[in-house]
Amino acid sequence: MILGLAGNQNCGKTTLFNQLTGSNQHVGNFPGVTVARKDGQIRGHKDVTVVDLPGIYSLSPYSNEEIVTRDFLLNNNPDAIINIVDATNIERNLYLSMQLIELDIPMVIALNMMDEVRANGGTIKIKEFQKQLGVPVIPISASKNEGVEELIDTVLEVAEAKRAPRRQDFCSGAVHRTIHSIAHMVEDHAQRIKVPPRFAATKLVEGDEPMRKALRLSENEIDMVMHDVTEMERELGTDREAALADMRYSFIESLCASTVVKMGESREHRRSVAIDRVLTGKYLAIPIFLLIMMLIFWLTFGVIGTALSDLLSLGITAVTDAADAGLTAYGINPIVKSLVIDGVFAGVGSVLQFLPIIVVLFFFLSILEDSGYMARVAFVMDKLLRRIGLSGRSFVPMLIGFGCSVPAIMSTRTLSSERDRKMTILLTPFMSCSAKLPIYAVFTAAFFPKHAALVMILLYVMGILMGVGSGLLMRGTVFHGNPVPFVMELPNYRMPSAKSVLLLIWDKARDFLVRAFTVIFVATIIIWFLQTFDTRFNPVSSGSDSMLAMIGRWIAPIFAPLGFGDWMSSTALITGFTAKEAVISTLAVLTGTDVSNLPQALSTLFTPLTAFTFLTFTLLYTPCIAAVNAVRQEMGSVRSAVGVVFYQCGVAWIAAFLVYQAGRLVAG
Amino acid sequence: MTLDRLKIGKSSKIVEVRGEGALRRRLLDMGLTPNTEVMVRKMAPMGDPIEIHLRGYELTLRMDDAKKIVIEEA
Amino acid sequence: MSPVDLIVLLIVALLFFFAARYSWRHRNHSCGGDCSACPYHQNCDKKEKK
Repeated sequence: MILGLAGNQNCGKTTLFNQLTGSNQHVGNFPGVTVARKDGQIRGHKDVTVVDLPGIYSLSPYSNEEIVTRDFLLNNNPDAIINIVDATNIERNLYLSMQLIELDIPMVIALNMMDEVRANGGTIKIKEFQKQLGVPVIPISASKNEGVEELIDTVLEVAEAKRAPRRQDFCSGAVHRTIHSIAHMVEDHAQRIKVPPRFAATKLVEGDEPMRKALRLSENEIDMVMHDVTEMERELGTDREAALADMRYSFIESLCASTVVKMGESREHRRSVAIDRVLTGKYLAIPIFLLIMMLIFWLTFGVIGTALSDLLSLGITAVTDAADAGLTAYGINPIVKSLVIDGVFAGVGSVLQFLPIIVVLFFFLSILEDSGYMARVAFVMDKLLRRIGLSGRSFVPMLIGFGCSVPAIMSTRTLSSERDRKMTILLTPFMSCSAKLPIYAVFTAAFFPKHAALVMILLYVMGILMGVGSGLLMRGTVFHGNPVPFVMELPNYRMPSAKSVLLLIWDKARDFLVRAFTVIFVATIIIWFLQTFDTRFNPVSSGSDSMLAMIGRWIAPIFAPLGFGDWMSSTALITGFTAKEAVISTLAVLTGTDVSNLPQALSTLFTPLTAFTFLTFTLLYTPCIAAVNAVRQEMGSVRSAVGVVFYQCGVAWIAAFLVYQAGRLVAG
Repeated sequence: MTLDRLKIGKSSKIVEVRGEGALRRRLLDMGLTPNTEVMVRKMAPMGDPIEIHLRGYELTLRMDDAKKIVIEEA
Repeated sequence: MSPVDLIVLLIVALLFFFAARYSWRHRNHSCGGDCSACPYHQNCDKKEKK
């Protein structure tokens, strides 16, 4: 049995899904976190699958989320719909319910946040309410897991009895007459494509293009439909879309007037408005936003992250030393020992020590998202991003880009326009991801110990400027056209749930560890192999005879105009393609030191100027293979992914070239 | 008068929603239908977009889009 | 080469094999964590079921 879970954004849909299935997802407050469908088995009912549909406000044909939901409900024949409705915001939530009812699928309304309504002096006469709507209504509190059992029982009962909504006619007057006459006219067509005639008629009256095409009406029939619609428009003095929206809201208003005792302004809402007086206030919004971001970055990269990182690094060194001593005691063959110590331990260890930084960053980002602050960021920053042809919503993916490009690129799914999405995908990798941070950390320690913070800020700013520049360039050329409507709900602030934040962190940590012990592990061994043997598989006496040195020398000329045409840095940049952390581990392996001594070793390879040029290139060049893969999936074509890679390498090379040449001029 | 000219903190009733396509449908779907009471809550720090209050919730939209919403004269 | 050398080598080789196999099998759905919110996590489930 399949159930569809449908509802608005920010109505607790994901929380209910977790309660129903017992599986755990990330609960976000930013409108549109739940973009793709998620499945889960209902607890105690293994044969019942719930599909978490995207959070939508309507079944219009304009956004992908709405189309996806509509297609699922019409084509996948779910046995019932659970429509979750936020009782504190009942009017707008019921607007979707009205359209779902027309689909003629067994349905139950889960009236969420009833506890909040009651706490603020409101009530809903449930019996009368469900009588007027014609579908069962179950009051629940998803976050407190109240009423969920009753909801499950009711849904199963309704689905088994195949009890469709008892009522579909919520309209009156001209709209009523028009829908009915068209419903009769298109009945055959609708049944052929297995769409309820009533739903087909409503969509036709609304002027829904996909429905008109799917029904394949004859020219004559289209004329008749248009005739009825024009007649209705004339009678009502308004157009078709407004007429239907008005019809639905009018019914909702009368329903609420007779069954809902409105609550006073809720405590949560008052609190939200009070918080917003500061957080989105005229003078404080931007300084506070910058402050929050600086605080997060400072805590992540300056205090907690690095302290934990240092601690972990000490542990790794201790383990490495112990392994080294053990292997020496057993009189192990020097090459085998080198494989274990220089290859595995040095390579994986150097990546592993950045785990705390990533965990801490994602901890803060998920709190921002779950609390509802990310939506405010979009509100505050919209005007800024509009200049480069995007909307405030693109700000969030870009912000996540500072953590990791991969989830950032994936989160562009929440953008409703293809154009905005592609443009954001292209710009996000310019936001320096946290995996590049180890590279900056090591290089600044080696070359700019007194100005480490300044150099890092400079790099971050350079990345942002390149992004803005690319945005302006793209806006005028590749991605012309109008941005999507920016009409977005600002949900009430909510306390992020510790469970969902911890789960998110665990997910990140696990993924990072998995990568360290798989991709990075494989890469370090391959690199160790390439640098330990020559082309005839004989062990080399000095690193410069190895296979790796050969490959490095082969591509080094490309980087010669940038000032670092030696084979070691070229090789490090190549391995950086597998994961940015690998740049450091490769340099460590190639220079034959561990990470703690790497800064000293690097000073023989680079001058401060070439070090900065190298950092510039690392900042801007193509992100890791995982990010490229995400680009491929989101853009939907290999060609555009390859295009992005070339574009970014090109930008990186030119920028690094300019930095190097300018630096030489200044230095004389 | 149009919504973009409504002063912060003031309320009015919607008369008509103009515009077309995805934007208009979105505005209607979000409950900006004729006779709905709207209040302008605030303006973003950079002067655009605005935050409005209607049907018990907060919505943000851009000035350009607010120009398409006709409201009753104060 | 002593037997200990061979044992160490064998362990590393085995680990390498499994790590490489895992990386290869997961090449198409690498992501930065947060798998439940990931639009592709369904693909993972499907493949595992098979």
